[in-house]
Amino acid sequence: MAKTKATNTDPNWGVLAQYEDPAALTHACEKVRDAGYKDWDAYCPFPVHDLNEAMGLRRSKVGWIVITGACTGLILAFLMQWGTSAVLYPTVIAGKPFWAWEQFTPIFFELAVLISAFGAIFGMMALNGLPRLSHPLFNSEQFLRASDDAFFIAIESKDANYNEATTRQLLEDAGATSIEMIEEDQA
Amino acid sequence: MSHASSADAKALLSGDNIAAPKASSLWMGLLGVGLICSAIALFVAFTGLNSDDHAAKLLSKHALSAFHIGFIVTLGLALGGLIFVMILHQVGAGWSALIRRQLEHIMASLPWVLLLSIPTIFFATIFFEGELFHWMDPHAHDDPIYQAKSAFLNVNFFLLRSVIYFVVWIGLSTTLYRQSLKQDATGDRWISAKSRKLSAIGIVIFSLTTAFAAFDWLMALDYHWFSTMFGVYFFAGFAAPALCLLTLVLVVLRRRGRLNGLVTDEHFHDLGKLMFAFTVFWGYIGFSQYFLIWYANIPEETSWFIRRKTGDWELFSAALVWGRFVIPFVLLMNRALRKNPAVLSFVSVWLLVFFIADIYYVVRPEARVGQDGGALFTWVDFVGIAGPILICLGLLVRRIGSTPLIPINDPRLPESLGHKNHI
Repeated sequence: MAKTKATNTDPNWGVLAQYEDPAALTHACEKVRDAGYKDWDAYCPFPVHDLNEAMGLRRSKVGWIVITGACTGLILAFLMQWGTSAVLYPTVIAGKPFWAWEQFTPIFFELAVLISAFGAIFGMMALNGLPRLSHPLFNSEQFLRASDDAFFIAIESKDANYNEATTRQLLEDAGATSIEMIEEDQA
Repeated sequence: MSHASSADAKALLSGDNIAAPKASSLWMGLLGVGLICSAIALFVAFTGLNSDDHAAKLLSKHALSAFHIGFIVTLGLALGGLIFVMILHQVGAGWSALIRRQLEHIMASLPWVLLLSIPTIFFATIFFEGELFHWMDPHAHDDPIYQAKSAFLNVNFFLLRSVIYFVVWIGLSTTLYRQSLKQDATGDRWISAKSRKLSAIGIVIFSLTTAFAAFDWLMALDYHWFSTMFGVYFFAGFAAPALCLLTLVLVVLRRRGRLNGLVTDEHFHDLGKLMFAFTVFWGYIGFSQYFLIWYANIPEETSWFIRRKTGDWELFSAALVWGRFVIPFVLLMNRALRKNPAVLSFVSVWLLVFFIADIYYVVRPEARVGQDGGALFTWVDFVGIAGPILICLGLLVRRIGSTPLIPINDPRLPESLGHKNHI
């Protein structure tokens, strides 16, 4: 990558540490968590069990977005069908009542599922800050291995506890095999 | 990942922790009360049989249908145990190794369920001609609707099918049960592979026999009516309640200080998820069955639902929808509640009650003299339903005490020991 070398005055985005294997990563995450960091993340090529707890992650909020979507779908389906079939254009079809929950239930179900699914996908993307075109971590050549065979922790400099020296030391003590500073993307 | 270390595991897997508490008075008590209840119900059924008195005749029919409901409930729970044992073998479900033994005890009711089927299924043709199954009544044989179906609905074929169902189910369940116990004794890991192979075939013939049993023993109570979905409806009905019974057994054992550190909240969480799934499945199948018939609005199909939507039954139907689907659906959706054994056992009792209500809803409206179905509940309904259920419950408690509480030599035990649901 033909990237100009950052000078010392360039703002640091954070520090990236590499670990040997999932166990080392999990162990290191526990240390970072216990040190009270908030703006950090772990990266690995496959899901590592127990990492959620090791990182001190709370449960995802996606579930609430999904249930909101489901309720929205139900309400929309009700308004749409009741409004058109029973209020605005009451028409006798196959001798059925204008308002009958039976014939509207498939739509209740479908619309609730549809908007739930939208909530799940787009909610997940929004909570992850996606879509975005680039990420400072991509400035690191090493980091490409996060989708292949390497395990990383990155701590951002915006974290209140961040201090270049002590943060590096913490990651090193936790067993990092290599550490590099990540520079901010140039606007 | 986080398997308990072998020293810990050894301590957990020894002694009292995997031996059932003594409960001889409990199982004998349950069995005794069950036998008395069954005897009363059958006595009432027999004595009122040929009575000219309308009330006595109606009571007799109610007693007979109540016993039939009790029998179907015990059958459903045992079949639920059987299908889940086979599914867990088939998919190689590591998490379930610790809970499988109790499920095997539940399915091992089947030989006793065969005995319970004798009064209403095998005697139906001898003593109760047409009392329970209207098509067995000689008067029905002039009915063109019966005549069209008589190639299938005739006594000989009916009995033959009933025998085949039980041969299949008892064959599968006793083989799987014995193999599991044999593995306890010998430690032969290949027994698990054998059970898996048997389960693969078993699941297929189970589906067919269960569907046809539902047609024969439940749907054919009203031989005018038919629903191709009914076999699935029966299966969808008993799948979750069988897991509810399993949950209650495990909760009671844990309360009595057994299975400490073995069966954890994580296992209950998985049981809760399956209960949730099959609650939704019941709602889906039940609605689909109703919806198609409601929409097509053809008299020969709607009659079954009209009977269940008039009079007292209308409220009963609505209660069934809320109690069997809506309320457990909302409760089980919450992960914290699913993980809490106390809440989960409450939901289990709830679902078991509504499983009985579901069978009641299918069977009971067909117990009538002429068009008079009598009261929604009578005392004999409770007695007749309780009889078979308590008998099977008593025998279940006895079986639980007869073996270690877990399959001690199952090769998947270590996997189940460290079982965790990752977010």
